[in-house]
Amino acid sequence: MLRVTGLVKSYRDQESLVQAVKDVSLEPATGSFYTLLGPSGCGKSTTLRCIGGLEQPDAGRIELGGEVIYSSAEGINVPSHRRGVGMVFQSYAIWPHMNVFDNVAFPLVHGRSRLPSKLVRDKVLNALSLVRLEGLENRPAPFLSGGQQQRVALARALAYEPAILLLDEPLSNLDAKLRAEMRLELKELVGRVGITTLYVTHDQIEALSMSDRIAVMFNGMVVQEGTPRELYLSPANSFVANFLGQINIFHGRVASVDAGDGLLWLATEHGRLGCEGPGMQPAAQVSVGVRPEAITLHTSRPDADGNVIEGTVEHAIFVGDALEVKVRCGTQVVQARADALATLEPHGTVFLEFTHERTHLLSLSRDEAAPADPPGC
Amino acid sequence: MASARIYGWAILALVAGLALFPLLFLVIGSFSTSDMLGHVSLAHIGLQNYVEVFSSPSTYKVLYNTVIYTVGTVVFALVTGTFFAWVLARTDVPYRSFLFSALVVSIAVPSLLQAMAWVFLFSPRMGYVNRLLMPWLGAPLYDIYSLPSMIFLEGLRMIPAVFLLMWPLLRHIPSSLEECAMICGAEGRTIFRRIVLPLIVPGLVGVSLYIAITVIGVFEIPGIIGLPARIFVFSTRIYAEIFSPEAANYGNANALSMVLVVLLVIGGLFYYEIIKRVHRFEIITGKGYQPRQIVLRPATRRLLLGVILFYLFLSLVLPTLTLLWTSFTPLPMPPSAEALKHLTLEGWHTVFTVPGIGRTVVNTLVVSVVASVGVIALSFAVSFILVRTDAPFKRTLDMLAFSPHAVPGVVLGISLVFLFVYMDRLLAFGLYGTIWPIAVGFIIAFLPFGTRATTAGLLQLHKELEEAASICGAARWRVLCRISFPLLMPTFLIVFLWTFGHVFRMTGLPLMLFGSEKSQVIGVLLWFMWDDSGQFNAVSALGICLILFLLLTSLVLYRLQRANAAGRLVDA
Repeated sequence: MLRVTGLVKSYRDQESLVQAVKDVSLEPATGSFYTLLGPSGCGKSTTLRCIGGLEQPDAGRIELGGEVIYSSAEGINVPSHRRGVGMVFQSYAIWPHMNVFDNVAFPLVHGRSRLPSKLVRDKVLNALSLVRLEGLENRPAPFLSGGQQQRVALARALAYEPAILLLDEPLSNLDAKLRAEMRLELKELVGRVGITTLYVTHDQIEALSMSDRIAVMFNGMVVQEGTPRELYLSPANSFVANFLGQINIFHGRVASVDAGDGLLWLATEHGRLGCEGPGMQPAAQVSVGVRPEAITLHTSRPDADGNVIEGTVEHAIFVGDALEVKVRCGTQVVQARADALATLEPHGTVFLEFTHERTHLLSLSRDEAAPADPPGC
Repeated sequence: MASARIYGWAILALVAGLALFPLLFLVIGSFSTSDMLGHVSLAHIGLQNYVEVFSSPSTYKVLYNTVIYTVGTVVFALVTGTFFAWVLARTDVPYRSFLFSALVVSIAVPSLLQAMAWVFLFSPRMGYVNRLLMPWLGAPLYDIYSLPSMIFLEGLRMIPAVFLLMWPLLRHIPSSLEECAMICGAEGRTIFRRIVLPLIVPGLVGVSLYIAITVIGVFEIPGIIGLPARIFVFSTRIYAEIFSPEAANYGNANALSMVLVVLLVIGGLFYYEIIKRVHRFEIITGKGYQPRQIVLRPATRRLLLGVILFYLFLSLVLPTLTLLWTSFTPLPMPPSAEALKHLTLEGWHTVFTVPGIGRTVVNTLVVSVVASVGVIALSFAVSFILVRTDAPFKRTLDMLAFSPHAVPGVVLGISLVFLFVYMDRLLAFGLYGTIWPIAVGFIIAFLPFGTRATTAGLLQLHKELEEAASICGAARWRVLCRISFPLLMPTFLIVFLWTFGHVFRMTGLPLMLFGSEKSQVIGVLLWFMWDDSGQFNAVSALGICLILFLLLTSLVLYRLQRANAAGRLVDA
């Protein structure tokens, strides 16, 4: 369906050259919901805009539906109005001098295929009912709420049955409650239409809850690609791990590799920690990550197969559905979650237990390339 | 993408041609010693014009007058205009919205007519006020033909401009900055000196340079008030070199223009630098601030209201009434019971029967419409490159489009005379003496304003609105016609009306390009009627028609600007 290979795009920012996209390749499956996730400035929107033809890449190749729409090698660059893609913009870009009907009808009347007005009317009303805006077709655009504008933008992008739907942070301008509703609705809607969807967002909850596959981008490159479950449960490095949610990272050296059950044992300041992972050279520097919700807190040393770390409670904050606990373990403060009804003494000793399966080995080489915390987003 | 690049270079070449070609011919003309207009040959090149200009003591007198005239006008207009802006932006003076619109609409009175009206009032012999007071005083109360009068009248005309430029600056100082100083224990005067003044000083400097650049080049008021008393400034001196009783001396006029242009380019560069600095301050002028309003004592409120109303009386009501009265008199005479018996429609009759009046009105309309449409088209083309592309020559293009601001109408007129005469000689188009050089001149003259306006408009237009149409399958020109142009229409209308209203009244530039009745416009007709024939009632009647017409356009302009501002609020 869509195949992006070796995409490169740089900008001239005053004197300096900024490499927005360095070497991006993607191939979303037909009919799938594919997300580009990353902090602002990571090149995800630029990648999307290159696919839409709104930016001209410096190098690479883009194929859509078996047709080459951009290729630096062959000198092909199909202008965006002949690419037959649909797009919803961050600002929605609803034309304020038209009403809802004219906005949705625009691609059918002024686009590639000019349709007879009877057919236009049918298709517009059809698209509007798809986004549940029946009866609003005569409303002037400035009189629409944010959520309604978003639906009009979606109807406009779907009305002419494009080959692919590009969504550029479409939910970021909505308030929190509406955003949560629209996540489900949008996912359900594009699933019903069956259109291949490329979604750009910096919100990990949106990405995890809506996508079939996610490509996490940082610094103009795809850092890791996979299903939401893969990315969350086995992040390739601390950047991906951090970006998808809270995680505690422990550093250490490889102590031994257990040939029997394939466990990798690390020597850390908290003692021996086991994790599942490929065989590695002994004494190699490695890091592992453990998500707060994978940790069970005990007030006495548990008798368990998994990893156990001892520490003292620094804070226990009641957040309603749980206690968010900060535990000091040596030089490090570990985040954990406890039952909301648990009572934890400040400065009391606790034992943190987590299984080997939930202890994720993070690649070190990528760690050095990426910061431990995602930059502000 | 290749076509986009060609388009960019083509626009750059066109703007560079318009901005620089006339100046090139000005330079050539200033070195040309040939007596024949538009004749350039190496045999007739020399410094003779400059030698003449710089060895004449009158040149230094002109320079002195110009400096006094400009500085005086700027100080008067800046102090008064800023004061009005402060009163309307920050105090609770009554009828603010009426006063605001009246100040804006008062721009409609052309300088030429304002000067004429004040001559009717204060000329030593025929001035109405002087004549009415003569029995008591025994001598004229005041002689209008003086440098201070010129400064006063030009200042009156510039006050609305200062007001309009300063009002947003004063309006948008966040009150939290002042309130914070107050909490810290500062008094009112300290707050003004330490907080408010530093914030508006860059703006004040920018505005005063803008006004200075405009005033150095104006022709109308120095022409009506200064010429009879032989008080020359540069623009009138240049005029006098050409319309001299002996032979027109284009060489000296060119050399004088060059001196003026050099002065203005220096001022213009200063202005360009300062404007960039002012924009840095705009970070603090975000929307949504409710400025602190100063609650005045009732007596002060009445006093301030009175002051502004008095200004409106002097600048709008008095000139209009004076012209209206004069238009019905057989000869200028002060209003009295006796005079009422002599009132006549002769002046109004003359206006409609003056030879070539129809042609003149049509010329003026054509020139104004062509120039306004031309300014819109060119400005949009320039702004599009500045805002929507990453062309490498953006800064150059911006400066080129802005540069005509530093070229006064009279000078532009002179340089275009040379350019078109030369072109006609070369290509036999026969354009000199028609209205087309005038239209080209006005397109050049209003390009700086037009580009500023369309750039601001285009910046307001979110790029994604155009991109969405492109994604929907609309080709480039369809995006322009269906999305960009309709959404920019308010900006285009404002540029159109502003340019139209100003071109319609201008005298300086078309006077320089005047060849025959074929190319006469209203500003020139008024000038000649005043200068040659002394048909004062007819001049006044024509003036009244012009004022009414311009009042109408500025009212429409004002309404549109308001609606436009409101529309932007909806967007945001």
